[in-house]
Amino acid sequence: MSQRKPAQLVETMAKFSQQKASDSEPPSQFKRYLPVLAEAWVLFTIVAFFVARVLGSNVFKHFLRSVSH
Amino acid sequence: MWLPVLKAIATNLVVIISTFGFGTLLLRLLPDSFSRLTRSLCALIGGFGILGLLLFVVGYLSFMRWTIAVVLVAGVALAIRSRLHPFGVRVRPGIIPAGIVAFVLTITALSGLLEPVGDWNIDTVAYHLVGPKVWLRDGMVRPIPDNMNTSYPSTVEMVFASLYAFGGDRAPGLSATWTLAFFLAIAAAVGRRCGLDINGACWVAALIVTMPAVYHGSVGAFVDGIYAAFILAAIRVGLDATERKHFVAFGIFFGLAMATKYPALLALPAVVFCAAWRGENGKTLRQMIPTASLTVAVACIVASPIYLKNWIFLGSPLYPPPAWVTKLLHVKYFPAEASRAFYQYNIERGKGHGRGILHLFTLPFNLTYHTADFSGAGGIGLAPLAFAPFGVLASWREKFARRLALVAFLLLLLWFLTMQESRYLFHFYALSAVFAVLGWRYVLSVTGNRGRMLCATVVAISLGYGLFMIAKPQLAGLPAVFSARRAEQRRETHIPFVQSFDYLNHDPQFTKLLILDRSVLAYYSDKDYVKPFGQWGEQVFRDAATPAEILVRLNELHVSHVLDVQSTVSGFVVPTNYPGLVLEFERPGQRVYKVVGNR
Repeated sequence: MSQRKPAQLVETMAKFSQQKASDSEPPSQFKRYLPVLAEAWVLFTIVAFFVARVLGSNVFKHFLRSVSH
Repeated sequence: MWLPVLKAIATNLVVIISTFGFGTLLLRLLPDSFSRLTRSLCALIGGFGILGLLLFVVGYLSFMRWTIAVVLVAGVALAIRSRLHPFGVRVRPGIIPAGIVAFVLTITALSGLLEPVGDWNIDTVAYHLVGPKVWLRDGMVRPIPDNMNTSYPSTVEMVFASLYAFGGDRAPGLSATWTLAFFLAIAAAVGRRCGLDINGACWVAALIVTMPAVYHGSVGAFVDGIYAAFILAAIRVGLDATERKHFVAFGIFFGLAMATKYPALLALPAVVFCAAWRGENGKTLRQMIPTASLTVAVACIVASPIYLKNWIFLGSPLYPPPAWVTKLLHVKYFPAEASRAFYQYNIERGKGHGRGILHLFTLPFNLTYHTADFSGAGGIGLAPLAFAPFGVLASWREKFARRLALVAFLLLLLWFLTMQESRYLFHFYALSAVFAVLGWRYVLSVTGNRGRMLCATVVAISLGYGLFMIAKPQLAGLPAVFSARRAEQRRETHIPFVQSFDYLNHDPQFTKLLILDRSVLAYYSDKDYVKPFGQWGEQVFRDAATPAEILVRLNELHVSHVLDVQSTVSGFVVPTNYPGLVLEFERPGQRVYKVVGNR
């Protein structure tokens, strides 16, 4: 499927990678911490999912009740 | 057993071709930059709406099988004449996402072949298919006074009616397979425009189709999926519109959305603003006002038959009208108290977690983890929350993606401020999936193996949980597709008062039924009926507000039978040995009386 515009996302990512690799222009604080931030955020959503959907589910609550009795 | 299935499949194929035929009328209006696939897709989606609207307008003159056939044949002729052949387009999708989409569409097709069943909580039989069945029986499209929901914008229901006319009661359900595919495909096309490759676009479709909240509102003769497809097609055209004809196409798609669901009326200003704001050729907003006005005018003209019909026949363009309108206009069949109660119910239902600033900030979390609180059981998966923020960040430099993000935010904000009902947000979910895939790619590009594992976990949870929530109820019903015994069991379990309806529908003397209980679904009656009191407080006769007042008018109603039931809202209402009525059939909680002579 042809597109009128090239995939600019790819360009953006390429520029970002270039900037990261280049020593002449140090990356901003935000960009430096972006990989850590991304990993932390994604991990947070996974943990929150388990808390909300698994630990908070009726099945799990029922299990806890049955164990406590 | 297989004849209804074959009829349903054949009718769906004819309607798809006809849909495409009408859609070819839009091709000249689309931007030249659109790929062949996107053009075909816009033709199919636009054609669906045009077919529905055309049937709606023609139906007010005549809605016989032959008039519907003429309209369908006209569409098929246009398709044959077209040089664009959508099914000749070849793409190479990624195996995993395409496999997931194919699996879900397959179970959709199989479960779509089941007979529609359910009680008054199931919109399919409560109203989506009631209009088509009644209009076909009457040979004319007219408001159904006992069922105000049938007076909602009904473009999609008109296509259901054409399917019902030739394919029977299974055909509308089966149509979800291709209408859902349209929705997924236009979302994928938006993803392509944002810079995703074919594989990425397929992942957009896979993430959307495994959102249980989206899936369950797009199948079973529901209209929300195709409504969202109209909105996405409008956005796709509108954000790339540069010439007047593009804005006309934009207006047509939005008009079709307005002719499908009321929430499009609210969405129109937001999307038109974003399309007009900084056009492709750098025009200022003031310069774009004429083209934006053109879009709004075209949208209003396209949707006008629906709203004019309500105004002329029912007294208000919006029906049911907002409670305050009943003071200004004389609205038929829906008393002011019922209107107030209905809106109060909707306000309660649509308040979600609240409308404060804190609720706005926590909305992404609540929509992700507590979608059921917005009547969206099953959720929307983890990927939008986990990746979409990074997708917006990554694609911010690209003008189309930036404006798309703004459209998505404005649509979400409008939804948040008005009616927080998950079904009205499918187009936003689709856009969030586009940004999720963009963000996923971006996160992969900036993180290492650990990030890769975390991303894979998010996608696995989204797909796994979604597929489980979708497949579990759908697969449970599938044995009824292949076994007559299981199909009969399903009917008996899920159709309220099924024995009475079976008795009546097989009685040659049955000509017209009086239904006294508001919870009884008229959909299951194969003959004409009178239902004085509707589900939401509709009152067909102004001077008869109770069953007793109806019973004294039996002779005027020309009914042959009366159905009296014990339901969740009422007990039996026909007194024992009521003059002029003979108890002909009785089962626990249900009685059928035959009307005999003059009283």
